[in-house]
Amino acid sequence: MDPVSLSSRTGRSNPAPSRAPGKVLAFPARGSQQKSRPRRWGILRSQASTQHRKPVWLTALIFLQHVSSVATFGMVTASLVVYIWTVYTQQLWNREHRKLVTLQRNERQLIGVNESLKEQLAQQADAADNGLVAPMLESSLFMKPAPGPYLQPVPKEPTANQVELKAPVGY
Amino acid sequence: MSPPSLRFRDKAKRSPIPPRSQRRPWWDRSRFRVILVWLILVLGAGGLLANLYRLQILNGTKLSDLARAQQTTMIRPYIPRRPIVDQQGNVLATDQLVYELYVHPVLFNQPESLVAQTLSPILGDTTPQELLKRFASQKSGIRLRTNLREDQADAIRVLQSPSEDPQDEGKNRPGLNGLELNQRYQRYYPQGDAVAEVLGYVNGDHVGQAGLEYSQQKLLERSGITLQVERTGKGDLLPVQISSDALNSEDLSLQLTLNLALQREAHRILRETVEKFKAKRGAVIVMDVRDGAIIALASEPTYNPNAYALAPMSLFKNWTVTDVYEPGSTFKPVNVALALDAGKIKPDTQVYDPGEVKADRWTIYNHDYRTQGGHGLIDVAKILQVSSNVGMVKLMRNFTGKEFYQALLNLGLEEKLGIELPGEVVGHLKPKAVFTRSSIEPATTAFGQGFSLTPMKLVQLHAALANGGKLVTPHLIEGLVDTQDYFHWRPVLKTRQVLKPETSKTVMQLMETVVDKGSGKVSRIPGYRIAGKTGTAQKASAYGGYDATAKITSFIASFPVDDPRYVVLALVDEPKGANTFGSTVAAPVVRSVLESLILLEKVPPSQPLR
Repeated sequence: MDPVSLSSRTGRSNPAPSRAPGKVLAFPARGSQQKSRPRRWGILRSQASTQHRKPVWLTALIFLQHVSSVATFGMVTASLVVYIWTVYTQQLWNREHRKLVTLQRNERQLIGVNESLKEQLAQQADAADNGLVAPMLESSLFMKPAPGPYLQPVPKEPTANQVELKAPVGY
Repeated sequence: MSPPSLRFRDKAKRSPIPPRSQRRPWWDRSRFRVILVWLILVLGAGGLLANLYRLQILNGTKLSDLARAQQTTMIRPYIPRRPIVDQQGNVLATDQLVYELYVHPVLFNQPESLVAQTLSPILGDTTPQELLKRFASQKSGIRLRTNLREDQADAIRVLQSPSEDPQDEGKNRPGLNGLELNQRYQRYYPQGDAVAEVLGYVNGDHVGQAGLEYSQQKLLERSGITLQVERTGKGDLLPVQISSDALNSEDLSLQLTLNLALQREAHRILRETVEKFKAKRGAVIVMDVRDGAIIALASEPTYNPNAYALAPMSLFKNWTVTDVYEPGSTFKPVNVALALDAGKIKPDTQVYDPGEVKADRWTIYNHDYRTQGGHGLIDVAKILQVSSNVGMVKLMRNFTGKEFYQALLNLGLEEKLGIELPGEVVGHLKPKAVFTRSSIEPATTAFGQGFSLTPMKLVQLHAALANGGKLVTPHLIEGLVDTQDYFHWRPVLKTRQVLKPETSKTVMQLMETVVDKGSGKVSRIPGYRIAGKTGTAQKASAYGGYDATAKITSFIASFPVDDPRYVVLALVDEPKGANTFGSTVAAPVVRSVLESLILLEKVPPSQPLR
């Protein structure tokens, strides 16, 4: 039969002797369990009252343990959040970078094609046999502009610079 | 089995050891099983520790180098040379990405014939047999191509990476080793030879060698950088070490004052004329008189900057600013303006023109002396209309030699213009002592010979005659502009008042009579008031004196006279044939250019058409 500490007992039982030092043992007589229960509980209660005052350092330690558990849990959550955030921003950066590279490439191709087309058109226009006629002064009309209030063009503003990130993003 | 007294004493009291026959075998006992499990776990941990030692300490440096090699990569952000655009935003010069392809046959992991088969359709112009021959020439470092386009480079990158080819029944094709792509920027001039005399070109190292590409190297060049960054397993970059401005994206381009359409027209007209008269060279300059912005600058012959290596080196300079010439009669209005401004003459001053005049020990004739003889008593307008040398000599005799020389210096004849093209030279006047000593120098200077200036300088002087007497700075660059049409930088230009505004108005009216009634009749345009002057100057011969056959014909016009906006100069150097004068060779060029200018800039007519 295993030794058992008195404080974990819940009620009925085995009146086995406790091995833990420093604890007062109560040995009710065998066969007198029914009658001695109240007495045992009374003894238990008085034992508990002497043990009720835990030492301050123990209380403090237990309190510290609770606080640090809460803090640890909070910090673990926070670090997970920060980790997820850094991975997300890196993904975002890479996505935007890929978009930038693609856009730059499209711009190069567009400019190349566009301007070559203009050059080709100019060459074709110069060729003599295409039925195109240069605009002539004799066939132009000049008219006086109509009077009245004109809409003023909105003054242009400079393009916004890239958003300045003062601190590098990452770990 | 150890004696029970050493361990659980109470257990001995409670459970005595059964006799040997009743005990379980040693390999079935609970204690043995515990020890066995402990042993297995300890051995496992020991194995792990040993492996850790092997990986971390024995192979540590090698593995970390391998990791670094896998994780770090170099990226070169796209930082091209700034594009050059014209007044309307047409792109005149831009950067493209091209790739060099190097092949190292010693590294091939597939048979060479297969490599040749797959490369040939990508390159497009080489058969597999030719490729095999090239592979056989060297073991490594064969430069197959220098100008691969981006789509061709993409196709080669696809070859390089391993892939699962669905057509191969699920077989993996390993990546092809031995191909190497090098990225570089290549300058592309989409407008061909239309703007070459202004733009210049860049060489293989992407450094400007002529024209604006050379002189504006600092404005155009942006330093390229190579960043070393870390990569994740998927190939994404870790942007930790990339600072916020490392990628350096911007949208600035160098905007010129040129109008591409007018530039093309000027080239076309000039080329026709130069070919028709088999001239040595020609030039057309169109400038805005109000601020000196050059709208068109065409010079023939010219070259295609995309193929600069095929052009003779003499074409790489723009001779309108690098070469001087004796202006001849086109300088006469300037002299008239100097005399009017100093109060030495009035518009109705008359001189007697017998057709010849003596200066020192030389005789000066009119160009039409043999056919016309003298012109009699003529006023200033008539002197310009018939381009009388004698008349000019007599007019300028109202100046002393010193006064005339000072007035010429005041025009900045020996100063640089400050135009952005490289290699600008200054004009030459005779030294002051020589000029003032005898009367021949002021006399020849009076009709535009005996000194030299660049064509651009003449344009600047005529612009001063047109804009109220201000010497403006001819310039080609409008500034650095972004895509929202906002200027981040504009050049600061100087202007200097050299004549009175009334003088300028008077001279314009006098020059208008040249176009209405004089040698400039060819360039008349109905409805527009044009002021002009022809010029047919003899060229100095290399052996001293003047070459009897070589002349340089020119015509310069400012318009509209009522509110001058543009000055147009056309020069044709050494036209061949009879009847080659400024009025017959250069004036038609100016007329055509003026017509295009009116249509493109939408200049309204000064008076209703009759």
